[in-house]
Parts: sequence; structure tokens; C-alpha cells
Amino acid sequence: MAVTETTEVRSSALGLRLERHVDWMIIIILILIIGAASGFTLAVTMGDWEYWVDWKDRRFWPLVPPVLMMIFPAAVLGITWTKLRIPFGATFAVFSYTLLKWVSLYFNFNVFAGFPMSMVWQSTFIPLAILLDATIVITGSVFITGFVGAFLWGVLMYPVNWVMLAGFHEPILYNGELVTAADLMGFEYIRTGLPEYVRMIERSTLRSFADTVVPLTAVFAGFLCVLVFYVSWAAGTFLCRQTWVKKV
Amino acid sequence: MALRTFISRTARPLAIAAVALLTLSLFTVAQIGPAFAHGERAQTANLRMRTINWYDTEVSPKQVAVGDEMVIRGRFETSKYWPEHVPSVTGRVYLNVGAAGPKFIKIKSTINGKSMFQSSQLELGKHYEYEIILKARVPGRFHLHPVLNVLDSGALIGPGYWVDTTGSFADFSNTVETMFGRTIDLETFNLDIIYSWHALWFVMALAWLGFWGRKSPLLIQSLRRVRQKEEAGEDPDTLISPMEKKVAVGFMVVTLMIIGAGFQWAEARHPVTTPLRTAKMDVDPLPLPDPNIIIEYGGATYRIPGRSFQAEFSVTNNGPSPVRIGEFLTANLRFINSAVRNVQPADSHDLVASDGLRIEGGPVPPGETRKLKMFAEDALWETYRLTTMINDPDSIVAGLVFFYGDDGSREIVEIGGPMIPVFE
Repeated sequence: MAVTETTEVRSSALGLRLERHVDWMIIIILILIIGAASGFTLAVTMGDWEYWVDWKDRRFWPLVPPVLMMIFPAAVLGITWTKLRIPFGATFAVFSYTLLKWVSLYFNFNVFAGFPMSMVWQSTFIPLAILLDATIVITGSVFITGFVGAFLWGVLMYPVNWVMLAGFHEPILYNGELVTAADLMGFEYIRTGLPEYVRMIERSTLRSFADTVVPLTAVFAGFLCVLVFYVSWAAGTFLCRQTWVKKV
Repeated sequence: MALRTFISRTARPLAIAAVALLTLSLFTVAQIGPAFAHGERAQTANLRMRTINWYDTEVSPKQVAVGDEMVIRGRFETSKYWPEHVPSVTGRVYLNVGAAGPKFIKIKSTINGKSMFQSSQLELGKHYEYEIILKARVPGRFHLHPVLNVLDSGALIGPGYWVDTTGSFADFSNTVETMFGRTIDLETFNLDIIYSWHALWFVMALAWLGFWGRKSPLLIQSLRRVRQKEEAGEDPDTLISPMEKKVAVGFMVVTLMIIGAGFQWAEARHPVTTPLRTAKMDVDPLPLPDPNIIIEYGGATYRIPGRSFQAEFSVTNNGPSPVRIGEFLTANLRFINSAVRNVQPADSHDLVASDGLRIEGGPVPPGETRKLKMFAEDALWETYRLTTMINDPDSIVAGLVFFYGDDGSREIVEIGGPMIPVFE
């Protein structure tokens, strides 16, 4: 009897240790997979806005990156919430992406290509992801999380990153022309295949709403983020319904 | 036990696969060598011969130290035979440099004296004078080209020259003063803020992840708990405790406060900012005198076995002195008539055939019209993949003919038209 109990205790302790090992193994693998997958997807869809400081404008930068960035965090949050009730999916996805992106930026753009890091830094989405995760904890509602959390994601992307960008938009008089530090870096640091006109940035248009650009873009980005959140959430929860998960 | 067996069975293959992948990656990285060309031979002959004719290109000095300035200057003609299907410089064009990354920084660039900080648009069949001032940034030996990026067409590359840079990258700085008197070094500008801001949010992310990952083991246990709740018909949301909700509220409040404070701090630090610049510069062609030379193109052939390009044309000289053809330039290849000029390649990759041009028909006296036959013959046709012009669907070629007068004058005329290949 005593032998059986000891065996059970040992077995239980061994099981817990194994489960902890499995946790770490899965977490490390997921960091690499989610970071690499989202990094690749986002590089081919919004890459330039996230590489170059002279692409971070008032119209497309607050719109394209947050909307596309929403895809993986919403899907991962959908999985971790519905299957595990662990509300860190969005933060985990963004954390993985950001970590690997810094490695990529440093080696690809700074070490190999020779661009200064001040020209090729990335935006941060971590606070937006925390807000998204926190919303679902507080409300317990996917609908409200999409409506509030995802909307905040789109709206707040610009103010979150303005801390890093503002200095690059300080005016400089250069050879008799008004430019910004970001423009000047784009001009000076030679990119043979990336001429000035290729940049997809704000051009002058007829505007209303007292000449505002960023607030309108941010609100529009918020609406799109809400839509993308629901679609990605649904895709994530659908794609994680493998039968082997039930057997664990 | 099954799980343990699974792990023990998969661990070794996974480790072997990881080591193999790492070895392959290191081997691949070790094979990477420097690039010595910028695709100047890659474009079709048709595109190179009928778009931008670069001439008088000059790079000086060709040996600099890190931090020193150098100049690329010269002229180009925008071909009037520009292929109709290729978007041209009449759309949007940007003066650039063909280089292996930012080994230099571009201090200033002009076309006909107008700043080319932004892109511009040009006219076809006109001549322009450009100048690009560079500052050496990284030591090494580099091949530099002037380049015109043309919207929807790509980079049209000019002749390249080797440049040697000495010194150390550590000595390079790139300071500039803002309109508010702040002196900044663009090499490292704002990096302290960028890194600090990212670090702060990394800490917040780790705190959030750590809080929810504090229950260990996490994943399988959580999966089981949710499954049990669902099977019992209970709401899995009850797995979230009131304390955890309070912590989430705390994180939300702190996050919003940091975002607000950060934004206010940035606004206070940089009260005046301007959007990115997108103006388009206007530039007029070079004002050149009326031409004295009038050419009537009579056709051309390209004899493949002899790498011999022949063109016939009648030349009318309305100038004051006899003129002779000294050079034919197409696709950055320079065929020199050694009887008129002595031009030697500046370096190993300078595309000059010093004795590659022969003219039948002699000088053209003032006021006369003569039929001339021009032979441009050199292995450069082959080396620079221009023999592929026989594959072009429209078989039209073009280039610049340089006439030199006995009085030292020079006149440049573009010829162009159909070309017939000779296969025998």
C-alpha cells in the first residue's frame, strides 16, 4: 500500500514536471512560430511602414500597420481565451513578433545592409495588446472586446508611437528647403531601389474637418481593426479545433 | 508515461534537425560574398539603348577618407526613342546613386542646378546636367553609379566607377541642426528614446504574461479546467477570479496613463512638427544652341559573328568648321574613334572601347551633306549582353553620336531607328 502511494506521488510529481517542460517547450516554439509567421506576413504587407522612418506618415502609417497587425493577436487571443481562459494571447503574439522583429531589423538592416538603427526602428503594439487582453478579462465578452479593445488598438496606435516619432518630424532647413529629420534620412542614406516617390505616404488632398489628418485616420483605423478582430478571432478559434487537442 | 515516451522519442530527432538547420544556415552565411555589380547588364538591351544616354560622367576624387566629400557629375540625354510601352521620365523620376547600400550618404543632388531632394519630371529628347555630392561613411572599395529611378519602369543605371574609402566608420557622424537650434546626429538620433520606450513596454508585456503564467503547469492544466467546466455545463469565465479582474483593470489604467503621459511628453518636447515632404520639383532642360548637324538615319545592322554594329546616315553640316565623328555611345558603352580622340578606360569596369569606332565617309565640310557609314565593333557588345537586342520585339536601337569640329567644338546628336541582325 505504501509502495503504491509513493509511486503515485512520484508519478504525480513527474507528471507535473513534465507538464512544466511541455509548457516551456510549447511557449518557446510558439514564440518562434508566431513571431516568424506574423513577421513574414507583416513584412510583405506593411513592411516598409515598419522599416523606414521616412514612411511613418500621418495617413497610411496609423492605418495600415495597426489593421494588419491585428490579424495574429486576435486569432491567438481567440485560441487562448476559448481553449484555456488565459487572456494573454494578443500580448503574447505581439511580444513574439516584436522580439523577432528587433532581431531581424538589427541583423538585416543594420549589420548586413548598414542602415543606422534610428532609420529602421519598429513601432510598438504591446500596450495596445495589453488593452485588448485586459478588455476581455474585464468584460468576458468577445463582442465588447472587439468593439472597445480593437477600436482602442486602431485609435491609440499613433499616440503610443508618437513618443518615438515626434523628434523625426521636427523641421529642418536643409539647402534652403524645409524638410524633416525623417525626410533627410531617406534622402541621405542611399537606397538605390527605393526612390522617394515609391513611398506610400500622405499627399496633399482637399480636406475638411479643420485640416485634421491623424484623428480621422485613427478613427477609421479603429473601425477597420474592429472588423479584422472579429474575423481573425473566428479564424483562430476555427483553426484550433483539431481533434488531437481534445485527446490531451 | 505516454507523454514522457513521446518527449523522449521526439527530443533526439528535433535536436538533430536543429543542429542540421543551424549548420546549414552558418554554411550559407559563410558563402555570402560582396556584390560587385548593380544589375547594369540585367536590363534588356532595348531598355538600356533607348532610355537614358549618360555622358561626361565624372567621379572625383576617387580616393577619399571617411567623412570626406566626393562628387558624381555629368550629363544625360533622355532618349526621344523611348519605348512607347515603358513609362518614361515624363511621369516621375528621381536622381539616385547605385551603391551597395549606404556606404556613402547623399549630401546634395541637383539637375540643372535644381535640388533633387524630391522627385521630378523631365522631357524626352532633352539634355540635362546633374551633380550628386556624397560623403564617405564606410571604408572599403565601392562601385558607384548615377541612377535615375523612373516611376513604373525602375532604376536606369549610368556608368559606374570604383571608389576607395579609407578610415574608420567609428569616426563618422552626421550632424544637422533643426530649426529650433537642436543639433542632432542622424546616425543615433532618438535611439535612447526608442529603446527606452520599447523596453518599458517589454517590461509591461512580461509583467502581464508573467501574471497569467504564474500558475504552473499552465497550458495542459488550463485546457483541462476549461474542458471540465464545459462538460459540467458551467461557464468557464468563472475560472477568472475577481482578483484577476482587478489586476486587469489595473493594467488597463496604468497602460492608458502611460500612453497619455508619453504622448503629452512628446508634444511638449516637440511642440512644432511638420509632415513628411512630398513636393515635386520642376526642372527645365539645358538651354542648348540650335544644332548645326542634321542627321538622316539610313538604317543599321548588327553582325553577330563579328560583334559589329553598322549604321548608315547622311550628315548635313551647317556649322563653320569640318566635323568628324569621335564617339558613339549607347547603353553606357563608349565606342571611340581613335583617329579623332584618345580616351582610355578609367578603371577595370569603365565601358570604353578606345579603338572601337570606325567611320567611312570622312569629315563633313561646312555646308555639305555626306553619307557616312559607322562601324562600332568590340567585345563589349557581348560582354554587356547587348547582343540580346536581336531578341527585342521592335528591333529599334538608338544612341548618341559625338561630332567634333576642327575648331574644338562638340555637338551631340541622337540617332535611332530599326536594326536588322545579320546571322551568318
